[in-house]
Order: sequence, then C-alpha cells, then structure tokens
Amino acid sequence: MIDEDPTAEERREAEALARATPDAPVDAQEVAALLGAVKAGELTAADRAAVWRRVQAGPARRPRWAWRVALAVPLAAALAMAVWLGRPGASAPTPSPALLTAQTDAARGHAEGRVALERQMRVFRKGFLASLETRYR
Amino acid sequence: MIRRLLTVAALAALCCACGRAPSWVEAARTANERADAALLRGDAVSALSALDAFADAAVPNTVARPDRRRVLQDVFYRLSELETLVDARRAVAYADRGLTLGEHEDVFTANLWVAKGDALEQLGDDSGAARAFARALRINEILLDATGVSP
Repeated sequence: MIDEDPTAEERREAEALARATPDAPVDAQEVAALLGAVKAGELTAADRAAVWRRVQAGPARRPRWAWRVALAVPLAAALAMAVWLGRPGASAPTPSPALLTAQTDAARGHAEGRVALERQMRVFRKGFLASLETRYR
Repeated sequence: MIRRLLTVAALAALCCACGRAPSWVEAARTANERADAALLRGDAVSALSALDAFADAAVPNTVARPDRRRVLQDVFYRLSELETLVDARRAVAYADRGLTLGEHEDVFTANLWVAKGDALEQLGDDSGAARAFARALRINEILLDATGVSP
C-alpha cells in the first residue's frame, strides 16, 4: 500500500510529530510513510480506523512470562527470607528456680531481689549465649 | 529498569544474608563480659557504653528473630537497670525499646517489666510501676508453674 519514500516535507512533519509526542509507539519513519499514504489518499477509512486502534493500544506488550518472572523472583526471595527469619531460635536454657524466685522478689520491689536477679542472670546469660554460639558456629 | 532493580535487590539480599551471626553472638558475649568487668570495678559508665554500643550495632539477617529478640532484650534490661539511678527517664526508654521487640512469656520480657517498674518507681510514678511489676509477676508465675516451683 505504501510504496514511495517520504518527501522532505513529510519527514519534517513526522519529526515534528515525533518531538511533540515522544511516547508515541511508532517511529518517525513510519509516521512519515503514514502521512505520505494519507496525503496520497491511499488509506481507506478502515485502514485509518485500524491505525487509530493500534495507536490507542500503545506499544507492543512484553510477553506475559516476563512479568511473571519479574514478580516471581522477588516474591520467592521475600518468601525465602521470611522462612529463614521466622525459623525458631535456639532453645533458651530453662531458668533455674533460684532465678525465678529472685525475679519474683525483684518484681515485688525488693532491692535484694534485684541484686539476686542480676547475679542469677549472669549465670543464665552465660549458658544462653553459649547455646547461641553452638547454634551459629 | 526492572532487571536493574532485581539485580540490586538480589545483591542486597545476598549481602544481608551473608552477615555473620557468629560474630554478632560473640559481640554480645564480649559486651556483657566488658559490662561485668566494668561493674566489678564500680565503673557503671563503661558498662553502659559497652552495652549501648552493642544495642546499636546492626544485627545480621542470619540471626533468627527469636534469638535476636532474646539477646537484645537482655541487653536492654541491663541498660535500663544500670540507668535507673542515673537517668530514670532513659531507663524507661531502654525498657520500652526492649519491649517493642516483642513480648513473650519468658525471663527476658519479665525482666524488662521489672526494669521498667524500677525506673517508674524512681520517677515517682507509683501506679505505672505497680502495673509494670504486675506484668512481670504474671509472666514470672507462668514460668514458676512450668518449673513446678511455688512462688
């Protein structure tokens, strides 16, 4: 249908159109050829309608799988990270009755309870951190 | 664009995942040992700064969340107790920082409520202190029940 090269004027018009519509889905050469065809009366109403539909449809879509991959990769990474972070921690050593008794006293506002709690926690902490070191070694 | 973003995200995830959990646990032990040694010398300031530096350090993603919480809650408990006599408001803030990591029925959460109660008592907020101590006692009772010891 379009068998002639665009004229210089047509090219200028096409470039102007391309500048005015930088996001247009067709390049300047195609626009130039299209303008040429319109001027020469080579486009039927059906052709014009088809071109308009194509322009309205926007640029050719990326294949669907590309979006699926683009979504699936970060989702899989996020899921893996959530599973990794949500895994159970090292089992903390069971607090001794002495520690719990000291904690009771401290929570009742007894000063000696606080001192005893700190002393008991020093022992408990040592065991707890040692179990963590074993876990993460 | 998407490809670039994916590459950056993947690299960032890889870097975080490669954070060294053993060094973090070792740093926790060292900070606690330094604090203990400083307290034996009567140097509460050095004890506070050793624990404070550790509390602010980044936690590698390879550390499981429950472990992260327990270690940091214990550090915030110590910071809060040490700060109570110096600056009770800061002590409350330390306890709150620990509690925001998550509340559980364990020694670590109960200790934070004890520390918060102490700090509030120091500030003259007796009802706030009573509420905090009550929270500690509730957890403490559950733990005592589990070990079969009567309070």
